[in-house]
Amino acid sequence: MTDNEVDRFSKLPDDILLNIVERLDITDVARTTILSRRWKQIPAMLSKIIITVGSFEPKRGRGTKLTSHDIARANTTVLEATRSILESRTRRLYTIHLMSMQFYLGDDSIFIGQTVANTIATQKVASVEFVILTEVCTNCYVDDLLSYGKRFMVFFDSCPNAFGGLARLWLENLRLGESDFPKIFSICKQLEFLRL
Amino acid sequence: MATREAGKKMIMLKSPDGMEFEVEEAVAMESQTIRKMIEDDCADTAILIPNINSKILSRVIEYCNKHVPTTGATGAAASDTVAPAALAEDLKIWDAEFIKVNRATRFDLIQAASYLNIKGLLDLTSQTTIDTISDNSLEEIRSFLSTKNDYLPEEEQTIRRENQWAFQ
Repeated sequence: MTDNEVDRFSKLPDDILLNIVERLDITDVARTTILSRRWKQIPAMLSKIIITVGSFEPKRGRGTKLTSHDIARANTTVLEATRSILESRTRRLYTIHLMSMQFYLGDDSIFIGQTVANTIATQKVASVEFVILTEVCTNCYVDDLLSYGKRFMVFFDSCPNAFGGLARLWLENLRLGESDFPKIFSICKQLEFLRL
Repeated sequence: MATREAGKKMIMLKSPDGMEFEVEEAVAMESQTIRKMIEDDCADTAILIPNINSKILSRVIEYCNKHVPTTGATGAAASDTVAPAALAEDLKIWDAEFIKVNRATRFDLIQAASYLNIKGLLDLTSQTTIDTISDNSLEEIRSFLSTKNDYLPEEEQTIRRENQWAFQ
């Protein structure tokens, strides 16, 4: 390695580094912050933030199911990732064009929602989407559907500000009460897309 | 502006080390930066491309020549034409050969692609870096990028703690 080759990357303008970082998975984005001070500046400029619980699930062989513990752990990692990525943005210099979150309906979803709500309130955010998964995903009984429906509404009620800024929402395996829909639509004023 | 080959509009690109390259306007317009200059009428005679030496500029032109849509007329309409699937496969193979360059050249190409705003070339040249970051340990990434760790040990510890989820 010659001297003038040293750190040529770090001298690149923000937009080139950002272009590279934006094409990495969010975990790799976070890992690059430890390379050097220069790299640490980049994630706060991200215009696209995509955090998916699927990427934190342990790799299991085909046909083996994730345990409740696996799912809770993966959801907690989503929360930690959301906090560390969003809370590193201290200034409103850069617009987040898309914030896409995929997570399980569970104990941590409220904190994920609140972190997102806080970001919507303090940053420039153009578009937010939630993909909300349930632990049981095939052969749900009616009881499961109703119970997930209730849990969703508890989650919904706990972070109206996150839902108020939501553009797209994917739900699965849940049955909502008749009065829930008017409530959802009155809060989700930005909603353009809903999948049940 | 000079014209040749059945009325194809030609344009002159100059590198800072004094080389001149005559290229078809459609080829030059693969660069969004140059396209804008042409559309804004800032490109009457020759366009000086700062910071990109002739060696790199000739590689960039080689790339644009290969990637300019071949069907249709020259100019804006041609670049809107989608290449057929067979052509796309051929381009992929060509790209893989094109990018077999040493680290310094690849780096120069990244900068050139960025300045000239040629998305395909930027994607191609950054892909190796992206793969390296995705597949290797931090020490290997630092060595590949020649990045010096300028953190104090306690700062590094703090960042590691704040991003612990990413290091599991």
